[in-house]
Amino acid sequence: MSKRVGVYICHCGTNIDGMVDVEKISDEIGAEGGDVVVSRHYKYMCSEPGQKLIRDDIVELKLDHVVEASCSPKMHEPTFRLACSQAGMNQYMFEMVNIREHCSWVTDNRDFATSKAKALVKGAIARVKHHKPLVGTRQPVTRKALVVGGGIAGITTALKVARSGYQVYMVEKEEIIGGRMSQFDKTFPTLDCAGCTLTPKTSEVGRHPNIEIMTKAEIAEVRGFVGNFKVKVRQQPRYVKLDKCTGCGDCQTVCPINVSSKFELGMATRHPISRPFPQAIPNKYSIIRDGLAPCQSACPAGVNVVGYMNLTGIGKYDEALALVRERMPFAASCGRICFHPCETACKRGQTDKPLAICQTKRFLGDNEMAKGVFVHPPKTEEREEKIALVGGGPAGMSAAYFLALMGFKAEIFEAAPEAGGWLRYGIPEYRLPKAILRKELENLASMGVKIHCNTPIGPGRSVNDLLTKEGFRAVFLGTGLTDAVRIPVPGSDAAGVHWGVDYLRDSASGKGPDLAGKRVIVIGGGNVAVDAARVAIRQGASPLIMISLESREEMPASSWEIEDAEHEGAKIENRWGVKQVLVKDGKVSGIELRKVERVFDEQRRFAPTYFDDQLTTRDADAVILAIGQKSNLKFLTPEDGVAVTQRGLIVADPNTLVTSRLGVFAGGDCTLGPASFVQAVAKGREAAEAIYSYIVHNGLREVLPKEREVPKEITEDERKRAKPIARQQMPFLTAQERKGGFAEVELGFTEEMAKAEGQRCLSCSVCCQCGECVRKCGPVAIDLTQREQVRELDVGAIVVATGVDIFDAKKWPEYGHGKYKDVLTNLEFERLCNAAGPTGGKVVKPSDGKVPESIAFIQCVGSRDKARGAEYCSKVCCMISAKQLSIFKHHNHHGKAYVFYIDNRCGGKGYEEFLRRAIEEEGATYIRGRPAKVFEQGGKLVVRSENTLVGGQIEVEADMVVLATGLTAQTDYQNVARALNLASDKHGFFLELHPKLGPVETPLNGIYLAGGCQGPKDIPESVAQGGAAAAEVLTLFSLGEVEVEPTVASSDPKLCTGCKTCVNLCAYTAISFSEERKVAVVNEALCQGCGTCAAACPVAAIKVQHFTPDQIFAQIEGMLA
Amino acid sequence: MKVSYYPGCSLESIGKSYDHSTREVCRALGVELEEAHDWVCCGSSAGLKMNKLVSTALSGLNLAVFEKREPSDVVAPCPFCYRRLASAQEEMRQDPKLKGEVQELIEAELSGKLQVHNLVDFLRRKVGLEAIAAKLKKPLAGLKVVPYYGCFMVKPRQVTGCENPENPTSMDEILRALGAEVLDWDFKTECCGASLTASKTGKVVELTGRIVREAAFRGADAIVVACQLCQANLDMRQGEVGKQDQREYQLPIVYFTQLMGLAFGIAPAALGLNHHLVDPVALLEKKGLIG
Repeated sequence: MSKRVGVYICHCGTNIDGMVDVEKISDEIGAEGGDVVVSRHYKYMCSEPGQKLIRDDIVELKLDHVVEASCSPKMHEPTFRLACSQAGMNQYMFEMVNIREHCSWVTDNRDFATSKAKALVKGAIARVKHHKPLVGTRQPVTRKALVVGGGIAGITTALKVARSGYQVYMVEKEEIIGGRMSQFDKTFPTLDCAGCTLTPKTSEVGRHPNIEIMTKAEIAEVRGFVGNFKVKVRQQPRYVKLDKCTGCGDCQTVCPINVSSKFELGMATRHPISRPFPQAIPNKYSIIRDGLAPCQSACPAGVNVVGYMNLTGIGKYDEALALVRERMPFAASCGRICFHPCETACKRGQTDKPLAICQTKRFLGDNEMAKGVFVHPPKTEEREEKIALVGGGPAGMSAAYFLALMGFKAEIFEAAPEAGGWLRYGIPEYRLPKAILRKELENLASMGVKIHCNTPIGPGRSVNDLLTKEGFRAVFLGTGLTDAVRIPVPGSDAAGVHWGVDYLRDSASGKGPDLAGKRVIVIGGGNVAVDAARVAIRQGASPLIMISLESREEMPASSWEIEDAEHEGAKIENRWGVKQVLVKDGKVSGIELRKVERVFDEQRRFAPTYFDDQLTTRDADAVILAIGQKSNLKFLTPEDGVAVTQRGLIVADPNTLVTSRLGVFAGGDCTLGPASFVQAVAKGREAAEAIYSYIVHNGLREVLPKEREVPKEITEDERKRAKPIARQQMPFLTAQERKGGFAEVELGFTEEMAKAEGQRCLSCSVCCQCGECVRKCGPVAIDLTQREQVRELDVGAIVVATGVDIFDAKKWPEYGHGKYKDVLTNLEFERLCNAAGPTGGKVVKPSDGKVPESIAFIQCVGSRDKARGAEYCSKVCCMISAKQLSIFKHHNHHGKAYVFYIDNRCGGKGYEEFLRRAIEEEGATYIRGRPAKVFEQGGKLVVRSENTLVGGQIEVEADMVVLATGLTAQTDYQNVARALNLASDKHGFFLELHPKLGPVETPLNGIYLAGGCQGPKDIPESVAQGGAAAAEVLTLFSLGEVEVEPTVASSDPKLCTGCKTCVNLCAYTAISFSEERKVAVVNEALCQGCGTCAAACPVAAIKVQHFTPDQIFAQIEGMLA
Repeated sequence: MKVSYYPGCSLESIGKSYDHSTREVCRALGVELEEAHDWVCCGSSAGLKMNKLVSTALSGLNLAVFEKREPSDVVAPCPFCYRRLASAQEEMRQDPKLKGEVQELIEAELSGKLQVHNLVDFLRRKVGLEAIAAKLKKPLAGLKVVPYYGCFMVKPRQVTGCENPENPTSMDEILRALGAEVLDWDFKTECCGASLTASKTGKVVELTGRIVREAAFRGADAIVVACQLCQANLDMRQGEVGKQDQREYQLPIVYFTQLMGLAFGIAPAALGLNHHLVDPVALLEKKGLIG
């Protein structure tokens, strides 16, 4: 190809020429000749005459390469490329050299500058000769827009784009659109009511057929390129169906929870189900729920603790019990014996004491029993299938309850004379009276559950028989751990030695040994041992010593049980192990013990070691060895096909609870090992659901996403919500009263106590899902099962209008915000003025509700503050304070207003006049000076400041102080920046393409900015930017196509070795690997031409067009020549 | 615990009660105060205004004396001495030329590593609330006080290390630990007029007047101080303030160490409680804290 190069060097006024001898370079290069056909210099190459020089030369001198040296390509590369292509030369045969930002502007040495500039130009000349005439491609544009943020800027953009006939998605983080403007009372300079100007717009957005609003939604991820974006939107559940809610507000009236309102800046409370104000769009209610409360999360059965405690707190005991019963059918039993992990997790425990959750549940169960009723939800249907439950303990009882509700015919097979399992034969009467248990079983039977006692399943009538011969469709094994663990202790076969589990069962059946007056030793540290000890004491054993391997803290028994045992007279000795039982004449005479060295090994496994030289003995007439429970699996036959573990537990899938035999499910102690009542009940319910899906859906289950748990640390808001009620003390029998009998030790809460306890709840989940609103809602619009959703949108353009937040006034403690009730921020004062605000629009002091006679405004709190805030000016605060003092004067004509200012920035249309009005007509006193301090003297607020115009200190008493806290970026701006790949400045405001000429564009094609997120501004500017962004969007849509630059990577398949290095490095996922051809493939539309792949490719198979190695090497050689 | 002790000129004259009560309290807490006998004036009053080098050198002399001792901690109850010593050390650290000149003048080398404490912080942080509470014998029950730190001890933050010079709390915490009812107020660090007491008495009356008035408004029985100048000003001018307002204020101005001493069961005479103009003894008797 011929090489006819034209070289043009710009003076750029004196910007370049002032430091670089442009004329000299141009002449010298022209003189060198070679491929350079013409070399010119001109004052302003980017102007029309300058460009004309290039265009004319291309045509007349038949140039095929052009080099232009001036400012940064970021400024004018497009300008000159366009000029070249207008003259008929391919625009990529052009090279631009920066001799301004890289040369004339960064030195004050003319010689250096000139020689560097010349070298750069020569490099460009060498490079340009290697350029190829590249051609870009065109891609179609999806004509749908995404507006992120529903404030006034976003609303403006959305309406303009929608009115042009295109689809707009508006994604808003809060429950309503309207942004900051919806919190204002009036706007400057017109003193228009903010609501009156905003609501017609929000209303139109809500109604417009082309606009879809997604509230409680945020952008999770953006992929793609201009005109073809794929956006993932994460939407939080509203729990209210938008198509059903009529906005009647009945729900709010029955909600028992009150939390601090974010919209009212903490100056008022709201219910979790609420609407910020009656004119909000969407004009629907919304529930705020932070997630799963720690109590519900800790409960193995997932009982909605927050819900039922709050219902109890408002006296709705039936509804509370129904809520409990959704997960725990046996409240009266559970409330007596549960180990309540919920209480350990209860956040109230971080202020005073946790809620008495377990004991309140007992009240609910007892309350119903006392009324002689049993309320359960109606059966969902009637079904034919029979389900067998082997074992009538908690797991089987629970499974039967839920199966019965599903309509199945449940039959319990219990080997013992009575059902209840461990509840009947393990836990003693004084903890769980049999009468309570029998009532629970009666209730179960009343649902149609058949309970067969004295009916063991095993050889002769096996599980297999149940399935194959007796017509049961499924079997649930809840056989528990009914045998005692025995250890080979010498002497353990003597008379007077009992094993814990057996001892409890015999005692519960009235067949216990006679221990009256006997000296008894109980060996063991778990709940079985403690129960055995307390039973033995009641049977008259004296003295009773409990000996455990573990230290007091290590003992697995519940701490309150151990305390009760001691209270009843048990003596506890820790860290001794049994060496042998001492026997005399075939009967127990005592026990020999050895000192424990350590119980748990490094991996926290049970592996006790002893000091065999440290021995001691104790005398005894009876010894109870309560060291553990194990299963009795003799009921299983080979035909059952049910696999068991080495430890003797039934193997069951942790999710579906199915055993190795299809149709046979298992749960509770028999699968978990020694567990708890609540865990067994949980497994029973899970088994019922598994059986349902097995029978009805062939095993297919729907897995619902789990809710996230709220943070475990108590928050400030939660502390403030805590009502000053101490935890109720459970009344109990004294040690004297307990002697010799098995009367129930804990006497139960009264109604007042349960209600008071319920009111202690902090409702950490915010909405506690108690269901009151659901029951009250006429249109049935509330759906508490909603979960977080992710939605994918295809859009062509994105406008970011996420708005602003305000400075945290607490960073200036000398102004007393948070210390004095009457020190407010501008925004808080605005809420006082707003008719829908916490005072109904009355400007009164928060401290005493009286009208203030004087207000002092302190300007620039946070702004123009290098030391503690931000350097920038927030632009609007001068006007806001002038506006607010005008509003105050309308409320109180005699009031005095003071403004402590540095300057008054009132540059907008009508702004200066508005300020003059505030001073001259409203009589405000403007004092130029920075206040040092706001303090209280004689009970009144005083502002101490400098008065610079007078030259001295001034102290002003005021009833109220308003701090003009400046505007900041939103606190979560980084989430938005990350999702959209936006750059932000050091304050978090998003970076525009050019502060003067490109305020709404970003360096990313197709993504635009509008409003406060780009920098502090007022409403007229936000609206203007909203319109400008809309214009950008509409330009794109009207073109319908985008040109994709050809300066992208391309891979030579002949050279590519298929190492995939480039694939993993590409930040834009533009490179994929072709499995058939085993080479890398570049998606030119996604490629941004960054060059990372080209740099990393070990065989230089990938090159970026227009930045090839030969071009770059030529440039280097040209510079160094 | 051992610490060097720098009483300064005032504690040997108008601040005698402060010195005595400090020594008593430290003895009760097991803190050995080792007073060097070759200390000199710290240079904070007239010297500072007239000649910076002289003032810094005076401090330098003291720093040299105390640096030599073990441990290298010195506590100075007088806020002016405290700040002058600490500032001088800091100024010399930042200005090696000044340090050189001072070292030449005093004919000694300075390591610059001395830890200078004011008494309030020393007791609060080094000795600690637990140790103080452990010695409590007679809780200051029913005594309502406002803590007055004065302006000098807490600022500048770079020198004093005070976390919140607008609202310090060390003295509040000590007094509360000893059972007193410490009232909150906004005048903790407002200036009393300091050494203007002789040259501009009217100003001192004005400034102390505000403090006394606010203390009375808040319902305090007494004002607790940690500076002998504050004590003198608030005590001596109270009568005149009262005359202006046509009432008698009767607000005793007591050193916090005197209250500590009382709480530790030390005899009032040993604490210098009869050396005040506005008599604290009557108030303390009425509250049942004496006799």
